Amino acid sequence: MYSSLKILIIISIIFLFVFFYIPLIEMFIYSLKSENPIENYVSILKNPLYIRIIGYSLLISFLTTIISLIISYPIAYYLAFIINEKFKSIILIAFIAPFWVNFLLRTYALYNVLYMIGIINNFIALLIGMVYDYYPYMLLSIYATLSKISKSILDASFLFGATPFQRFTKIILPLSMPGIIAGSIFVSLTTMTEFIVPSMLGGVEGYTVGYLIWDLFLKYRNWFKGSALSIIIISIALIISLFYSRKAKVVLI
Amino acid sequence: MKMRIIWTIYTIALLSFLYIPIFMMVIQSFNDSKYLTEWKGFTIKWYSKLIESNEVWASFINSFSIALASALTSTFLGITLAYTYIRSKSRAYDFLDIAMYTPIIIPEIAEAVSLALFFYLSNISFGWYTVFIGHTAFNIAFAYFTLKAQISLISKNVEDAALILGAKPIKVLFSVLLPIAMPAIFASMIITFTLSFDDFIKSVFTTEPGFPLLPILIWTRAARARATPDLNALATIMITISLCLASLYTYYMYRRS
Amino acid sequence: MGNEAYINIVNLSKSFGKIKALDNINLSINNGELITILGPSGCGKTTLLKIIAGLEIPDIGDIFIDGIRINDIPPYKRNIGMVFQDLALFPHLNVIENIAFGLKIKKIQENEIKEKVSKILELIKLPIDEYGDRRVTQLSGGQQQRVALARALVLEPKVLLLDEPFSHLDYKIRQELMVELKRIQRSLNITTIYVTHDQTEAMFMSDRVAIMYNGKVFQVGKPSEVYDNPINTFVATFFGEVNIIEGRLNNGYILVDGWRPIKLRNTKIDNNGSDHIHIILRPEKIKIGNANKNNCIAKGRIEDLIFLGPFVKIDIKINDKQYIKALTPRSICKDIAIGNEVSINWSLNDMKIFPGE
Repeated sequence: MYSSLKILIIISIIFLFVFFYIPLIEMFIYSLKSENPIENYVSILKNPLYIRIIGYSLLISFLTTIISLIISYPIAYYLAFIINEKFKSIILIAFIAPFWVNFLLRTYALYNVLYMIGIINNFIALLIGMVYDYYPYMLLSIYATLSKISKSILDASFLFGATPFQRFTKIILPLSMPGIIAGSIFVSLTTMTEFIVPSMLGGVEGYTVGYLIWDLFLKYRNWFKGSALSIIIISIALIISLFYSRKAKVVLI
Repeated sequence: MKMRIIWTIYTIALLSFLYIPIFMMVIQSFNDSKYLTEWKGFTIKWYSKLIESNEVWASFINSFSIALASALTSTFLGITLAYTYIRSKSRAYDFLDIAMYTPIIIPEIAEAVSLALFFYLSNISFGWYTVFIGHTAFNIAFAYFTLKAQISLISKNVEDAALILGAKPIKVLFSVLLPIAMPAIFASMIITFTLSFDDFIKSVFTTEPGFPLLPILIWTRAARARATPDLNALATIMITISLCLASLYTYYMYRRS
Repeated sequence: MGNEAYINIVNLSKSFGKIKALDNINLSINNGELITILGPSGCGKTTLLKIIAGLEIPDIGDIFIDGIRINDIPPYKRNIGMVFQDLALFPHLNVIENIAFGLKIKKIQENEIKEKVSKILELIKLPIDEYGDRRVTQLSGGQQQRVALARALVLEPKVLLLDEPFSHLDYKIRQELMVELKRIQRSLNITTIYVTHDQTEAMFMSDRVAIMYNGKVFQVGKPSEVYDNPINTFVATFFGEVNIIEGRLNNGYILVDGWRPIKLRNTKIDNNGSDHIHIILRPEKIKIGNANKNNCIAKGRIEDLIFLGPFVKIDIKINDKQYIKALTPRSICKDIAIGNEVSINWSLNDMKIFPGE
């Protein structure tokens, strides 16, 4: 029986390798296709328009992360420490449930509401949409960390005469750092290349690097440049996550 | 006491921010008027219009069949990888574990275009199989992590005990390992099904115009300002299904035996 | 090769990478006996058990049960029962189903299964009507342990293996279960190998005990034999409480700082040229007397008195580098107090002398 297990493992590994890693390798090779191998990269990095778009995407990512953090931390805190035990699971599920709804539908629903209000097709709408779709990741990450803080540590702090404010700044906040960092990394990475929400809600102002790659492949048919840009953003994503896992020695999942 | 009230108000406010758009869409699906701003009366005509649409049905069937196949395949492959990793004594499989993180870290658009390139270069025609492969290669990672968490809780001694009691390895698998891991298996299938069914970016780059998928249908209607009211009906149906799956998932992942 | 002994372990060795878990183990176990393998964590005793069960394969060596070499027989065909340290009960099955698991595999008839399960539940004192369909996770630690035992015994195995089965239980429950186990083992007359790091358990349970350390078996024998005649310092210290005193051998005399010189009766010590020795002395062999006595071996000052129920442990300071522990019945030391000067004496036969390392 263990030999059939070995066969299955080999099949799984081959499947993953052939259909996930080989495409990436091929894309990398494609990005080097021209007289001068790094020409595609150079033309991207020297193009001020492209740089602006990349920078714009990073800005959106940064703002989304910060706003999500500010909004989510109080909720996580509430769920971990203040809420009545009876309601905890219900409220938690209530926050998680929309997650399961199709991303496009969620954004479309928000579009309708924002359209009604009149804030639409601009940067603000874009940001609202980004936070709307991504803050639950931040919330869950922080909550997971906060809920693991042992109650006895908090009780001990009272014995040592800490005020509630000190208890927060000296114990809870530092201990919640792993959750904050993990959530921030996750939100930053995923929002960096997000283009559906910006294009649906941001109108002209919603052009991000993700959409640029889309256009390079489907509209401009420049697969070489598109590959190069993809490799660039993959590298940024990998560097950020490697840096994080080195530093925190904790994995994202 | 006052603090508690403030917290509660804040939480409810945020929950409303989250749910009001969804509720409004659901309500609008029953609105006789096309416009959000006026209520012309209760109707289910948008639902009948939806059911009559061939395009919607074709998209639904394609998305559903791929999601089902992908859920089964990625869970099956994922559990073999997870089991091997947890039970292996050698360091060889650490490498595998790291390799499973990449699908989750890589930006989805980059992965999608690499798939398009791969299929184009391999001369494979776009359709059911390419979409299936694109989804499953990604979903294996999610299945892996879901199952890894559960299997690590099953002590090897339980399997050894079964062996000593006379069970051959296959019997250990079916009578001990799988029953205990069942909740995680269901959870994994639900999550991979949802990931596949809702998938947009990878699907765009692995399909062709003759092979419609539901999320792409939604996109072309919603984002291209060709929204028709039956889109709200479709949305409501999908939301209902999603929430049912969500509760099933929560049930399987968090029930205390 | 396997004449009277029921289980024969011959030249058994097993390594995990660079670590040698078992180093040339030779052990014979008699039919119906309960032998305890006693050793500290990491000494290889669990590995030995797993090899006997068939869950690990030895690098070198053979195992014979009832004359038959079982090396190549897979674990599900060895007809051995095993109780694990973490119990390993099936969480998705109730008590009856857990116990019936092995019987179902053997394709035994339903009514016969019911009968056997009832009987074994009676034996372990968990009535079937009350406990039968409970989830195993709802039982207490002690109850779960009984179920694990029943599950192994119901198949009437030739050999029973137990891997520190009671280590995680409360003291009182542990005592109870040890008595139960001994009773059941005797009534079924089943050859049993019991693994533990707890010497009290070993002393209580065993017909014989094997002391294991660093992958080697140092000594095997009845608990009283191993206790009275330990083969080296390690065995002496691991099995029972002991005083270790350093000394020198000179011209047939034992010389220890603070003691009067003692003439050696028989020079049987092989020291490899060194005159350095270790003296092993059990606390209960020491007699405490008046400080005025002059033909005593040593004199000292009482530093501490520790109450141990019917006994008292006395810490005696001989000099700055030497403290001796004595164990005396309370009735004898009524007049003793901390700070008293006392004389200590013992029979020369009670000293064990080993080469110093």
